[in-house]
Amino acid sequence: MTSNTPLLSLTEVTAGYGAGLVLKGVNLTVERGQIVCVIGPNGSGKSTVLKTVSGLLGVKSGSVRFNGEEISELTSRRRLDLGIVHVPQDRSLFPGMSVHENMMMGAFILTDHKLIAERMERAAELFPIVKVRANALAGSLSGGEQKQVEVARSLMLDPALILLDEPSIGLDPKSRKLVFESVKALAEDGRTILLVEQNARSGLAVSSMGAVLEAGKVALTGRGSDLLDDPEVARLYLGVKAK
Amino acid sequence: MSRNGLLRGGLFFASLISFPFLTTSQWLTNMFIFTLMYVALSSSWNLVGGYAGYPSLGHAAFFGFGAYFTAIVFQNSVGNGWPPFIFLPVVGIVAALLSIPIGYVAMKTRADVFAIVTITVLFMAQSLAFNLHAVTGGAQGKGVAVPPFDSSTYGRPFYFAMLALVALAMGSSMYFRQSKIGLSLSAIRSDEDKAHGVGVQVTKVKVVAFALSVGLTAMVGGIWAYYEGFVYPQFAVDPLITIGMVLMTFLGGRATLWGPVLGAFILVPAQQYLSYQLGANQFYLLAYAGIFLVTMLILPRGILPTISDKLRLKKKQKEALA
Repeated sequence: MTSNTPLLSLTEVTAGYGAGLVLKGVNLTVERGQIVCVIGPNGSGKSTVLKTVSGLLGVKSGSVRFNGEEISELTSRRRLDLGIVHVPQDRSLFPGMSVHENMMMGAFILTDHKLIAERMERAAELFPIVKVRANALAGSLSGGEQKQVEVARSLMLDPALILLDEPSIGLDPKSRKLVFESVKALAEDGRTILLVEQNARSGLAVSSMGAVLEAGKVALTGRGSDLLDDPEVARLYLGVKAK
Repeated sequence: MSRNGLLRGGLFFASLISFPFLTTSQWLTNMFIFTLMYVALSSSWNLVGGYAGYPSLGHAAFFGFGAYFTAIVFQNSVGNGWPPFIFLPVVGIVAALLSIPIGYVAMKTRADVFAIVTITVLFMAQSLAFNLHAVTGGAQGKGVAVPPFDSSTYGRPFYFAMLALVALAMGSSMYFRQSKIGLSLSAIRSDEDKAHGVGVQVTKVKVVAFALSVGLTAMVGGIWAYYEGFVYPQFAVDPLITIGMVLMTFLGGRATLWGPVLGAFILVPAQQYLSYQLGANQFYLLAYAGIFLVTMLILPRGILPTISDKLRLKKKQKEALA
């Protein structure tokens, strides 16, 4: 592995559920420290991309390389050990446990108490809610706050790559703002993120790179700001009328 | 553990240790023995029913196992009176080992199905107790040899043995709250599938909690049999024992350290008083149920969690106003 090796690269990846293919030859690269946002219409395979990277779904053909190493045959637990953390679309917190306990669950596979305390402190610096609402039940937080805690919890394993699956889905505008502020905080912390987002405008605005997925293939890639200015992307995904 | 917690625990145990030296009243000592018995039982039940959220209704089967095990071993002689107490860890360990396959199978089910499976275990144990005449003596019961304790302080050894089990059950409960096993059980209670997803060894943790819980329950059953002097199947494997543990834990507050203690200290004296007032016709059970229903309507999560929620809300409102 050289320093030029991308952190994550997908080459001609096909994957799907049962006999059908959802991904039909996806090519995607994520460099270290980048936030790459994948946008696309419903059913284009955005969440499936994340599942093939985290190992929740096996690939049928193609290659998934992490740090230059082929990982498509590894279990999801092994990929977690490599530092790939998946924050799923559905609420993944334990509603009946406190925020602090939820954070501890994020570090469940760790045994070094000092390290856990350090990471908790670091996560609280980025996401003060972890400390401020430490004793509150996770189920009593608003949707946006819960998403913030989920993202903060993902930091407990000091991940090399965070996979964020539609973090703003189903949230009110205020909560959505909180979520994108969380993504910005992660970016400022130098994290590498592969973000899948239905809200294309907000997703691309916080991303360094973007990719448009259509019918299981990457149709377009470019800098987040460039894609925001692209008239075709604007027409299809940003709700701007063609002139 | 916080300083306040240590102080609370110290005061609680200091007053209970000094209690038998402050009174010579037999009935009061007897009532305290039964209260401590239910503190230990409900704290043990809380390990699996409270922390893991698996409402076992079969614990009385293991209580009966402990009672019969002790009665069978010490039916002819108890020496100077102390061997049955020394033997208790064996009772607990054997019951815990025996419970592993039962827990393993039963805990493949969840919630109400688990409750049904475990209550089936209870009725199977009761049926065995009635019908295995050669081992249990059937409906005639099984006697335990009488210890040569001084009659004026006869209850004291049993009282302290129950107190030791209270300390063990509460110690286990406290350990659960502060350790990874407690965190795992809370996660299981909150969402078992998610717990599995973050790396909790779900089956192992549940079976360990179940084994520890029923091991402690069996030890309590051992002391009960020794204190009563005779073990009858209808009393040793009695659904009312399980119901008592469950009610006390729910009343005080599930998955809390002090909830089961509070529940037992309210319900056992109340039950004894009502039983004394209303006679042995079991009408006391109606009043017992009434107390419980009213409390559950007013304090649905149990006394301690409801009070602590209300205090937290008050504090929050005060902070918001400031």
